[in-house]
Amino acid sequence: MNNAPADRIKCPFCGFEFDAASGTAYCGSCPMGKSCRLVRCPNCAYETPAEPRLFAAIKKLRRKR
Amino acid sequence: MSTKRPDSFDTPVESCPACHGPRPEKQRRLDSARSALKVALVGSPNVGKSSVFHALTGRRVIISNYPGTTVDIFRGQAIFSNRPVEVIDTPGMYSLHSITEEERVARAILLQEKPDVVLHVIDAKNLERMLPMTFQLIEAGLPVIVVLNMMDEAAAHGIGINTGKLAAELGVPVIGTAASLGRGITELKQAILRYQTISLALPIVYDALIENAVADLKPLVNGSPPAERISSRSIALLLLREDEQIRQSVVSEVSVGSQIDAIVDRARLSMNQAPAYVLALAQQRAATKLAASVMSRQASGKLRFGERLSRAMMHPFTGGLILAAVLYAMYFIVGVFGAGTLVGLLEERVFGGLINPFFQNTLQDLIPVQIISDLFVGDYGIITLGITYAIGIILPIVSTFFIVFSMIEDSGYLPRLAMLIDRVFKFIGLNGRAVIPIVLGLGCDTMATIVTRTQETKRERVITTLLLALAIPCSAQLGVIFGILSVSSGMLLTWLGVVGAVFVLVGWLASRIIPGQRACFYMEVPPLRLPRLSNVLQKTYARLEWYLKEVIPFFIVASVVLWAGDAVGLLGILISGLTPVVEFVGIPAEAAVAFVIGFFRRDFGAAGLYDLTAQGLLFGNALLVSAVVMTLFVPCIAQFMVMIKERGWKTAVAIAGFIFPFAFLVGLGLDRALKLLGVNL
Repeated sequence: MNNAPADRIKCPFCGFEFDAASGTAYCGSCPMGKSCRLVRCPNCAYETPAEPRLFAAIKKLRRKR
Repeated sequence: MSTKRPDSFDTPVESCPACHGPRPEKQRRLDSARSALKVALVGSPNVGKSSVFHALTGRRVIISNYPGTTVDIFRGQAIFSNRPVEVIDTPGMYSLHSITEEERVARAILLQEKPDVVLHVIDAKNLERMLPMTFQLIEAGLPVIVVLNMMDEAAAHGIGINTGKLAAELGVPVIGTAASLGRGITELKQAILRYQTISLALPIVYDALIENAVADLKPLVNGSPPAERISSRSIALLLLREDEQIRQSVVSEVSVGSQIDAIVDRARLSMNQAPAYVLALAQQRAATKLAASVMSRQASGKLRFGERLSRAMMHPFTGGLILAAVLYAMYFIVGVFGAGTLVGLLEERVFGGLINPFFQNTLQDLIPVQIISDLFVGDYGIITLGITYAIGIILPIVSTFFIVFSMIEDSGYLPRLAMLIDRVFKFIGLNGRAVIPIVLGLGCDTMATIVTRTQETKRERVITTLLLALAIPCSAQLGVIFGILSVSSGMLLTWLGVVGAVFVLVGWLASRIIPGQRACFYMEVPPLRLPRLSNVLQKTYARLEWYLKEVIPFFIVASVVLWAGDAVGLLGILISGLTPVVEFVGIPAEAAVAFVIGFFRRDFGAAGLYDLTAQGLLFGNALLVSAVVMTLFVPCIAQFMVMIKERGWKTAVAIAGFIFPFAFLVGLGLDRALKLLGVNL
């Protein structure tokens, strides 16, 4: 059971909102799975890049200020 | 809209003996005081369910996996007028007839958790498209409250909705909200607390063939587990839609499986269309009629332009023109600027003029054994082939491609493209659900092949896998093809026409050869919007980061394999085996190497063609034929592996075995047709 708030992503294809953790359900069969930083919409399976660490760090820094 | 008090509408929720039983009001109040009222939110994606959920529950939220699935659901606790309430936010669903895992979870919550109130959250702007599911929930006898969310946006779009009339027509409470602003939430809470019983309106009476089948099925499904929660009419309709999960649930408990199958088969054979299609059509017609009677529109000029543009993008004629314009813009930015200017700068000046000569001179001096120095700077060297292709050719092309693609993605054009393609799919007799993997294939065919598992039947999965392997270029290959053909827009149009024709023809033939039924395609279309520069930059950066991490090691490994193959003579055998085939279809012999390395990765092969073009060895008709053959050429290793895993090795080998000669056959036909017509590009 996860009580932490999840990062919400809005699918650019169907508009479905989902948390980043549930966006890797399709990855098990893909040979690129481990190195790939794309997340898949659980509604339509459209892939979208996860937020880059650099951007996440910049956002965190801005929030702290 | 045919609303009537039914004499045949069964299993009213409050009097269902299995789950509620007729309870005296006093007892009900006592029960209520003890237990929390359970409220479930259902609705399509993108209707603001989460906003309603948070407006009802505040921050008291628990996220958990639904048992036995990978789907997360949100539960929240709240107190409405001293009454504890548990609110469950279900995954998006378009219909009670569930197809995806998320839809199955949403339905399971309705069936197994037995909520006291079901809130059907609707985007008020798109009432007409969402009413069919309202009808299904009411048909199921569930305790429904319709939540018309985003009323503020509807008003801004000049849309007014008579909620009182809608409630009277549907026979269930209707509450207008703007959950993100907190409007209407107090009224919604009161409606939840006041909810006692549904008025049992029957939203639609279907045609006689459906109604007769429903009447035959109802007595057979009465004792089944789903009948504890939803009406036997609803179960019968789901059986007619050939919902396998409901069928299994019914048949496992009652020994009337063969009778049920016989009724469903009889209904299917007696209709011109599949019952699922007939039901969807009837529901949509009723929704259109009802929406027209309760909605008023005062369109503003700005709104009308956006809506007109959206509709034009999905119309077969104007949509085709807009698609051509989008492709032309892409060709100009990716092909002319990316593949022309940027590649010229990087490959020719930086790699060709500086990096490669430096390493060639240094390593050849340092490593006297030529075969070893060739590993780095030979024809198939890690630096001169792998790194040069990855950074000098692919990187500038995919960078510009990713910028354009991110803009297209953020504008909301992709779902409209899917709707446009869906029309073509229907025309050639394919399943509309194949649209999603096909559009995904323009990103990566390997991933798209995995996504074909979301399709309903094996037949659809095989056809879509075949089309992905044959005629859908992945993003990097598409970018390089734009780059190769940037010398002439006529070449690009011919390439598009030939690949498009192959797609339609093979899809049409495959759908005729492999028997089966069509299925409906439902998709919510989000609004059009102007892309934000920060989003576009972030996505482009993220895609490039992912691409470089994936492509550079792959290109290095492929260079080593090619070098080793060259050293032991295997590559020479492969190239000399392919050379007569390549020459026969009018492509220079030098291009055989590009086709051999195309086995490793599609864009690697396309980059090989680009290199030949840059060297002046590939031009005119031969260039166009090469681009067509390379697009149709066998899937790359990663896609082939996934094809084996998803479809089995026999199907995967059969598909690759068909594609290899077919790609060259199309190339041969194109070459001869151009010669016959006297066309010299």
